Amino acid sequence: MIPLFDTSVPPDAVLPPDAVLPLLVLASSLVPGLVIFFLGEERVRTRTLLNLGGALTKLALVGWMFRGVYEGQRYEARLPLLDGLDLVLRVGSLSLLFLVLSAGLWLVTTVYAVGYLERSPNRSRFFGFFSLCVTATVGVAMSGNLLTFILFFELLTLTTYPLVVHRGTEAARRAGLAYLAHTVFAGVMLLAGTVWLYTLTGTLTFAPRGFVSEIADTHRGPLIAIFALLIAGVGVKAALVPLHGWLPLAMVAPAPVSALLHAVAVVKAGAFGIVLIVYDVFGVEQAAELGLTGPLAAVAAVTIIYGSLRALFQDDLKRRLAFSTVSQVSYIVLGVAIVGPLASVGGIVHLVHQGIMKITLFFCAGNLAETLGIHKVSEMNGVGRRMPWTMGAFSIAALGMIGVPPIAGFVSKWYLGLGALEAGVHWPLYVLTLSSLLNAAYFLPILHAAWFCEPTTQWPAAGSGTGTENGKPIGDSGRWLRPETGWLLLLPPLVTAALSLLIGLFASSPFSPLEWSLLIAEREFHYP
Amino acid sequence: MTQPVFWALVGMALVVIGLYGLIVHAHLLRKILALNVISSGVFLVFIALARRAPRDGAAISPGPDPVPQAMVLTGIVVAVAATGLAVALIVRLRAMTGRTTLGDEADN
Amino acid sequence: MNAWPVVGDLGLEPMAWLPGLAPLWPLLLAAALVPAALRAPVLRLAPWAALPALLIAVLAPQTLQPLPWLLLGTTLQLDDAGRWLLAALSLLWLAAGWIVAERLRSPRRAAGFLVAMSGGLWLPLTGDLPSALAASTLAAYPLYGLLAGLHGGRVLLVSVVIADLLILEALLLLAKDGAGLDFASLRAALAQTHERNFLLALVLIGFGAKAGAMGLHYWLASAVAGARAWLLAPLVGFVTAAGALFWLRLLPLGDVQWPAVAALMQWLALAGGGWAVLAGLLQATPRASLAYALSALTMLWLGLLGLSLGRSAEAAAGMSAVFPPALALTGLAMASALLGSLAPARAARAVLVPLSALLISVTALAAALLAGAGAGDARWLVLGAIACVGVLLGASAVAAVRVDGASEANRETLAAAALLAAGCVMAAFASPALSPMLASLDEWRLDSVAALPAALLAGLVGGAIAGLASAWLPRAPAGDLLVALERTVSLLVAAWERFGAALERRRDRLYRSAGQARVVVARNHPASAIEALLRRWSTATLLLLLAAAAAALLLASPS
Repeated sequence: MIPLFDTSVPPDAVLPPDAVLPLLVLASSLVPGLVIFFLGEERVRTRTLLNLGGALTKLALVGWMFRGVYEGQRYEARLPLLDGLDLVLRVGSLSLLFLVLSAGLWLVTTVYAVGYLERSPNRSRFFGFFSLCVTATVGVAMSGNLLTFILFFELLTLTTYPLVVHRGTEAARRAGLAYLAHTVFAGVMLLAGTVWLYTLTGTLTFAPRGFVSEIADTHRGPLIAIFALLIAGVGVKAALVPLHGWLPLAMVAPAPVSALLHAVAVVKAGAFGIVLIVYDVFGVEQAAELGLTGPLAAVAAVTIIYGSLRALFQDDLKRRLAFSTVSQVSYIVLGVAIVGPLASVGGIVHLVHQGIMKITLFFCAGNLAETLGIHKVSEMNGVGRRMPWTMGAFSIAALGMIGVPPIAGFVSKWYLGLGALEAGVHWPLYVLTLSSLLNAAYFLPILHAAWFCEPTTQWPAAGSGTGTENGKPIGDSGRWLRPETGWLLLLPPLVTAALSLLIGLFASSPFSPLEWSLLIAEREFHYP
Repeated sequence: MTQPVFWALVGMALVVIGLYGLIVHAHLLRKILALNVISSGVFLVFIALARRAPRDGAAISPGPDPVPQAMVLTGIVVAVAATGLAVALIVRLRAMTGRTTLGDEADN
Repeated sequence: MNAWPVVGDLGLEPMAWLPGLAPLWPLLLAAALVPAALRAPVLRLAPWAALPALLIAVLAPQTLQPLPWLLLGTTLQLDDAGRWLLAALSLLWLAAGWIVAERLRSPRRAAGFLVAMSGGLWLPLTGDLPSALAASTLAAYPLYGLLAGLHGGRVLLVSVVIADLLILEALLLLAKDGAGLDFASLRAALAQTHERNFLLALVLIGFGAKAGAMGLHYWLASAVAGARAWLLAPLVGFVTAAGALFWLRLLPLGDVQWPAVAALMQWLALAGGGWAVLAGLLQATPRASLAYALSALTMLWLGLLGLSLGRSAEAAAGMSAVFPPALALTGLAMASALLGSLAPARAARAVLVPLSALLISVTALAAALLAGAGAGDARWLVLGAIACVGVLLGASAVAAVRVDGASEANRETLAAAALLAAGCVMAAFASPALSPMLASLDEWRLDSVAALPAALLAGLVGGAIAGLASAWLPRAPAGDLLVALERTVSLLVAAWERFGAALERRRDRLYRSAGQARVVVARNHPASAIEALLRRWSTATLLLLLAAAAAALLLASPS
């Protein structure tokens, strides 16, 4: 096994040569972000160029690192912060999964945001913080010890707050306040847990199978308390019940923010944090021995069911999707909490699958709101005829959420179920079945209403305002050259919906997320 | 770059940012915030440079110097008290004149 | 763990990929609908998109091609059972395509048509359960879309979602010990599992919902009763290919002897058949009665499969040989009956529907004989089931002759005739293989051999009489108990919502009272009152004395 960690390097040493790439990945969104802050509002082309350039550069760099990690190359950048504690950026197979997800979805969201905010004020401010938010996310992905993780985690809080309150309305500010209250409180708990852990173990570096095994026998009580603190701190972002209250409120943000927050940055960073804490800080077998995985699984199960139940009765489309996120992210936590290699594969691969499917749903919700002013499910009657491509993408992603093969959601549910059976517990299976039923109950009526009911309001015709137009709404014999909404708004959900279909269909091909998750389980957790 | 130099640079950057904010913003509350940022920068410089000299023959220093750390603690307390006083003065100013900036009424 | 695939290493023989063309061709056509330039030629080709499948079913050799990179590792196979079903399905879709022809003008409807066809044609070719689930999804969801908001469509969707969940659960439980996902491994796992009853229930209910078994038949009755004419053949195709076929593939016939399970299944078959008779005789249209006949047929298959589960390997082999052609034939004949009942001319209806009923009866009879229903202790259960099928067929035939068909239904008539002819041809193909088995049946006793046809005949005659008398019978809605079920579900949902609202009101009241209490407390300024108390000299002195005494005690006590 190639060792991924090298603690023999003294803190003041010159950075080793393979430290450049992680720093470049960070810089590829940090530098454009900082520059965009100082651009005027009217410099649209420069700003778009910087954004897209940064996103493409990041994707290219991550792709380069992907090949490197597959061949066993190490990437690590160290910056001495304190005596004995460094800022460590390292890239292993698990980090790479999150990195590819972040970089890819950032590119797609940037395209979407450019189209969505075309006539909004304060775009420079928005895109500046947008880029900083992604910087924080990739920093979380590449963190090599708990200190680095906390640093970028808190940075994520600070950079996403301005995005939540971007519109500046009263509701937005209240949502931002709730968001800050939750996440700052969480940050305090996270810091407390980390400091306590440091005083007990003397190290914070992530290690396969965790680094608390030496003190586990003598300090059972403190370790349990530390686990609770850390999980509570990270669980606020991961929207575990009862810490999820900020998520439905934060839906007042513009659609690109909701998409990014709920698919890539905040919620996934929280889930990723839980994965790191259970696997790389405590070690899953150690955590099971301390009796911690049982309560975690119970919390995850309660969240799954509660989120789905609440989603059933929401009329606002984005709130329904928010509660659906609350429910789905806990699949990852459930997979982590069930002690077994297949369950962890299911949880880790659901990171990717849920991200892609959820971002499609939010893109489509944003399209509906932006083009036709639809915010509620009860207003969605007949919208499939007016915006068939958007609703088509929505349908694919919704079916994937329910767990219908061959879309990606089916594969992660399969592995979660199989992992539960392998670990000898049957109740996760029932939780998953019930959750699928509830998912079907709140997604299928939307699809039915959109495709088969008559519209209740009159919507503006497609392409209206673009020259000669006889005012007839585009029906199902529409010419494909006149899109139902802007191209920038239409392409991203189509791309991500197609991705979710392909990822599910070719799940067992080389380099699919599933295969990569199996590789992660093999490399980092030493399971057979 | 060694560790103390790095943190000292960060502290200096904070002081510069705070100074910029102090000069540029007209709103008094923001000036107070900028002053707090400056004081944070100063504290950071103090803590970064708080080391004892190594003993004869030893390569690394035995630990941080407690005196600058005590000074920083005192400084934090002083900063809090001063901020409180300043905010009370701002509140009083607004109650009396209805403005939250300094300067003549003829100034824009 | 897979490395980069090298093309030469994949070991593909071209013929093994041929069956994949059957579902792939309609999918390619559907994808080609996107660019506007190709739309017109694709719409012309779409009705005939099942033709490659028919050719493959007839001409292609038997193959097995593993596709490890698809889904969770799938297999594409063309075996005997699949061949019969593929032929039947392609004929059904060709008929549907011919009927709908130019009315397929809108790209959305054409896309739904093609994707549903692709799923339906994939179903007989699947070699493992996950791809069967995927194929069933491809077949069912567009079908729901094509039913265009019919009530039966919604029930279909709900039934399919629940059925898929049950099947997924069963699959997980069967595959958990590292067993493969293909049908042979699953059969072996089912034969040896400890949770046999639970798993059997899941498999039977899951696929039974798709096959329209009684108790789960609600979608079938409403959908067939209300669908447009060109959807009737695809619906029958879905029932045939997505339902009972997988009972055959998953149940370990011949490997086990489960007499208790066998008896239960036969009892269920009889009960279901009886229910179908009761509900089917009260239907308003011949189409609905035929839908109930289809459900009764499914229950008969259930009973026969149950019979084989309790028998030895040779008896089960007979069932495995006869079941696929029987499914295919009855599918074709049922579609023919449904379409024939729409014929405008009474003479056409009088010829098509009874002949189709006859074909179904003969096939069912042959299947029952070969499955060994002629002998055994509880053979009267199967006799009853087959009689029920007969009753419904007779009643439907009579009703079809009496009730007027649709006005402009010439294509449907011709399609029905074509399907019937194809069914007879298929029967002719099947008989060389099956008649030796019939001739060599072990228990040829006169009473047993005669009992089955007698029961069937009695059923047919009884059904005809009932059909004649049906004008005086009350009418039941298609999907009988569905109405009661939906009422219950909506009551439950309303109750839950009221409960949730009551909880919220309770919670709000709690918050408000807490807020009021806080205001009341704050009004008395307790903080300043306490401060005022503390500021008094007496209190301060008292506290200082107490603190001094405590300090003295602590310091003076021996440590």
